[in-house]
Amino acid sequence: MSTLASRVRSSALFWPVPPALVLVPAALVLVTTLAATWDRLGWHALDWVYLSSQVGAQARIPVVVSAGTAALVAARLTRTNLVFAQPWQPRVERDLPLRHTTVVVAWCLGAYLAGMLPLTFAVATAGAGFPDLVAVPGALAGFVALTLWGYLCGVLARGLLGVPVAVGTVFLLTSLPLVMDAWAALSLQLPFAPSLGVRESAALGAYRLGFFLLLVVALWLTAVRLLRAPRRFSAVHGTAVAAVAVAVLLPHLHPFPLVVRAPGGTEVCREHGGVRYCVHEGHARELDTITDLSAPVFAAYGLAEAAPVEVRDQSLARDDEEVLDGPRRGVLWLSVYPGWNPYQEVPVAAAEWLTPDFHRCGSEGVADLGRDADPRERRAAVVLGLEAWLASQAYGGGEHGDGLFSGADPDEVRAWIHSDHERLAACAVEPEELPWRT
Amino acid sequence: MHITAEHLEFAYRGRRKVLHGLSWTVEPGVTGLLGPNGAGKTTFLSLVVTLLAVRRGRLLLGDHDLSTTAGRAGARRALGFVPQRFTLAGELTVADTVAYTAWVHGRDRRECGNAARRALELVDLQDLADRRTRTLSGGQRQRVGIAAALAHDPRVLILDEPTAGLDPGQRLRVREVIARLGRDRTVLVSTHLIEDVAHLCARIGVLAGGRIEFDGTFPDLEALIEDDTGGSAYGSGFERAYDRLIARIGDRT
Repeated sequence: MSTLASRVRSSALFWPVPPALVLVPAALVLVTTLAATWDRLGWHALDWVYLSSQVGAQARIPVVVSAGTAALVAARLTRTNLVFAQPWQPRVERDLPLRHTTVVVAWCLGAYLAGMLPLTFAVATAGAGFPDLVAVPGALAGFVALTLWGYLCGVLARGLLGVPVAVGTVFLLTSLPLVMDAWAALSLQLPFAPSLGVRESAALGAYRLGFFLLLVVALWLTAVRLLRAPRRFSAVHGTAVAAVAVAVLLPHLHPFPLVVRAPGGTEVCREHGGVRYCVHEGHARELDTITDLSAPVFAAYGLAEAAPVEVRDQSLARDDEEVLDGPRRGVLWLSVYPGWNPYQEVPVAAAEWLTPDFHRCGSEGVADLGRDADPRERRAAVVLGLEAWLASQAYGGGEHGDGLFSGADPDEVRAWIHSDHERLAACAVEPEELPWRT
Repeated sequence: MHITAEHLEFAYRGRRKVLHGLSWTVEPGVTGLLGPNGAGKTTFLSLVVTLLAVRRGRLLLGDHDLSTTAGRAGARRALGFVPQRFTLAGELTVADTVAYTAWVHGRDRRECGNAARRALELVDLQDLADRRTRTLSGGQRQRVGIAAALAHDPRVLILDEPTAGLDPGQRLRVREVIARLGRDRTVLVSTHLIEDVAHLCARIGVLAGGRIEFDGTFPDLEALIEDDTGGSAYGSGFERAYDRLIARIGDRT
């Protein structure tokens, strides 16, 4: 018995929750988060806008674990027939749920944030932009609110049934934004990941933060009311629950814009082969790669006037119209985003710029070299073959284009492009007309 | 600390009255509460432990008026309660269970270890402090329940059927514990077992039809039974006579 007092005192980090009940889920959250973000540590073009949105997006599974844990704690430790959870006991009404949820949130959210540390470090070292000071608190408030929802499920069910109910409902709520945009204001994430050059709309972020804070209050008051004896009507509680109901409806009636352009980034440029290359300062490391992968493609095409005047990072765009207007102004807009693969995307984008859209060949999106194929499909195959061959020139060429361009001498291809440029643009070249095949 | 009820009435929402102007004073020491099923014992205990709110009449725990929120809050810190049916979290140790209960009763977390030690000593369970509660016998579980109720050192202890379902040996040990606790506390024991009353209670109240119909000592009750029914003290004859008396009190009201 002499060790009893010290042993009980030593559990301050868990009190009054049995350590195993939070340590196991916290470890699961940590491992899940690390596993989900580990491959991103080496990504190109990481930035703070992306990381800010990921604080909510990556929490999708951890918050389910946290809510399930809270439900389990409530189910195991708030049943009214337990000796230490009887409704008349002084601390059962407030202190007990406060300690339970604090311990669960502290361990699960702590484990989640610890799991996000490597990605945060990677962004801090190489990334650009600034953290979104509304989106991040909104995601954290959401984590707390959904954990509290799990706790309420456990209190309501007074048994283990509360755990699957909490897990299911939280998973559903975190998945709804992927199906319907309106739910983005009521959940942890956007249906896509914004990055440098855009940001989550301030109205959406503020609404989400406000909603989750309101939800925390309403859930807390509901849990307290359920644990209280004798139960009394509370106008504050009724108002909070009604406010949550209204807050859930509003974004469906008046949807928020999800993201807005965030112009103003300084551009970093260089010139090569008559083409100007510009990226957002946060993507400065990508500039040489973009240039090195684009220039050989433009050179392989041969016609200087066909190359764009400028290759420009979409993060610099002032609005969507400017991007749509790019071809008319001779600007090739490149989408540079966290996790992009320039070695794959830049040559293809450059080749697509040079060749006509093969959908214009009238083949309804089909390209076929077969003898019996529709002539429009055969002409589309020429366009696609050229596109693939051009993209391959970023790496010095190779076997590409369904064999149409295999073995073709680059000078011969350039000469053919020069002579047949207009027919090529009109999608009028037959496979048999290619000089190296005749 | 006294428990004082004055003209106490109670009806559950939409149902008929359960307590009809109950007046009774429970003094320090061990007091037994007897009564037939449906007499209102559980309702009365629920009012004393503040699970139900007092709406009509007065109910005091010492100076705490249980019809007020402040009074209930004060009373909750002054009383311990062992319900007839309670559960223990099987994964917790005996010591943790009692320590957690001390904490929910308002003790500072750092004091809970010592509070648990003292409470376990009172019920002779100090040797089982590190055992998981799922491994305990029925009698040991009952004593853990009592230790948990004592963890914050309450002046009033309410026990609802504390020996129900225990074998004779366990019952004896629990009774010894209750008798010891009654020396410096007010202990109210609700029971169906006349043996408990005979061995434990300095005073007895018989609740029937929502009122206290008998308030006296065990010898007084014994005399009443012998006069009314000719039953002899103790043994199965006494039990039958007691049952008839309780039923008759119930009929009379």
